[in-house]
Amino acid sequence: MNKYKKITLDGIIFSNPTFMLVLGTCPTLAMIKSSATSAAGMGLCVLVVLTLSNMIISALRKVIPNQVRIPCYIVIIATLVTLVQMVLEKFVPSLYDSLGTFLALIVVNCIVLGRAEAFANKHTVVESALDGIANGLGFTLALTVMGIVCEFLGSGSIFGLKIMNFKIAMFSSPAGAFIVYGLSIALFTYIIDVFQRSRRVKANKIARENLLDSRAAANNGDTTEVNA
Amino acid sequence: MTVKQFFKSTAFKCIAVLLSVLLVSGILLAIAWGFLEVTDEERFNRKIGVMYDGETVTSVEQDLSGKNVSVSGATVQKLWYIEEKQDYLVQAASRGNGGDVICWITIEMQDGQTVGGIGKVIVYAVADAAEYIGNIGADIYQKFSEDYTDGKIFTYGDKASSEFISTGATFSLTAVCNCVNGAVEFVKAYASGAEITDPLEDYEYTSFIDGKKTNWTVSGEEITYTIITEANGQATPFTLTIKVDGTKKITEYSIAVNGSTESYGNQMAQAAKDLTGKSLADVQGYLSNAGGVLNTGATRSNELCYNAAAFALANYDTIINAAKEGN
Repeated sequence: MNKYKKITLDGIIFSNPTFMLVLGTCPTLAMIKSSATSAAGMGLCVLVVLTLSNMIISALRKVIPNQVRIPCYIVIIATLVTLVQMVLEKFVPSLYDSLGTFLALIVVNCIVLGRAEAFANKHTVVESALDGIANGLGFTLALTVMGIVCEFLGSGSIFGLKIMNFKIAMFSSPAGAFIVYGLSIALFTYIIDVFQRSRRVKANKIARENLLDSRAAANNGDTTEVNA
Repeated sequence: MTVKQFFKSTAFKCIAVLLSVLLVSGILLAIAWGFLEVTDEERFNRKIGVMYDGETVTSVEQDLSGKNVSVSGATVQKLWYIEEKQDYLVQAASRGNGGDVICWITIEMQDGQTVGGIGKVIVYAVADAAEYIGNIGADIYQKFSEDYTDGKIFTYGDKASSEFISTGATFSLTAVCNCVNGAVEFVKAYASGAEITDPLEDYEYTSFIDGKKTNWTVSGEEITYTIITEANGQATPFTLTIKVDGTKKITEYSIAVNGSTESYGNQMAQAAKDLTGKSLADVQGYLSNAGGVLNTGATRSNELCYNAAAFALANYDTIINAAKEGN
């Protein structure tokens, strides 16, 4: 598989930070119970911070000594988060208000530092940028989907648009968010498992057919030799 | 290690890189701040825009000095007259679960003097982390303007009320209701030109005491107070009868209207019993001991009852002297 395709699919699906690695749980639970808009907003903020921090850290990976890499990463990430905060407060104040403290807490989001440590300091800038975008997208999609479920069940609306009058208040609380998060992880893992199993079965089938073909070819060769 | 060796060492490289990263980050943030700073005026105009659907309006801040700004469990912090709309914008605060909930309320006027309705209600700020306040949906804020009638007291956060709305944010919703009730009452008085002085401004321990409804009678050396408290979180106003005699101790403490929530209401009789026979020093001790006797589960109700006791005891001399002077 092309390495860029692999990085992208890993970030979004096979190593999805929310469903597969269960990282960034704190903002996930806080935002999905709030609203789908807040959840998507948080995801996009993480995407921007993650992509930029991955790129900067990758670019500086040969300059930053190993002994001070973590403090340097934290300073870089904190700077980017502060910039994102300033931009949101200036241009998207409603989102800034709805994200509240959790916006500043992106600094300590383990997805951001985790990708810096596990990927960006070992790969090129382009690969790191792609990894940041893929993981950020994976996080954003996971939060948005769970945010939609919680908002729909908790307040009968989606992205603020009223769909029905029926609502279950629990889904606007941390308990409801936990339930939706747990069920989403189970469902996602099941789908990935089914997909990988079917891929394995398909691969085995192809391998078996190839083996049979090669045996048949070998047998035909023997017969020809005998006839000759 | 020589100086030359130090400059070639990893330690120096670490310090230099770390300081460089800090310096570059600092400069970058300083430049960004220059372009992206949101001034207080800008913040204020944004909120005004929210209140008037993006319209540009001229707000004239009213002078509230010397006025009684504690109304219906809320404190009116600021009042603006909006010239284009000829209505009032009120900033009022009331205590929620973790801290003050500060609301902005537009009060629509008829012929400049009478309150015609409530325009919009928003939460301007929350002083402490109160994450459940997000559960109060736009439809609930909308209800304030839809349900307003003259003399209406909003009780969406009161579990005992028929109009209670279950949100999971009962404390915050009670605080918002207090802010709206207080804002309407204040503007009514302000716009009609009525005197809005604090009837309790010369007294001590006036927290949670409704100065307009509280009264007392003096008989010899004994004062009989009928104290009406304000609401406090989930606790609705209490009506208390407290007698203080010449020994400056409470001789009788009875609860006529119990504002406590259903589950904690039966605890309040014990509080009344405990306060009987107590002096000001005793009550001050209870009030200063955060997490002590007040924290029984009915904390908000206890705060009201113990503060009322402190009010009755602390002002004994003032009231007796005034009675002797014939006031």
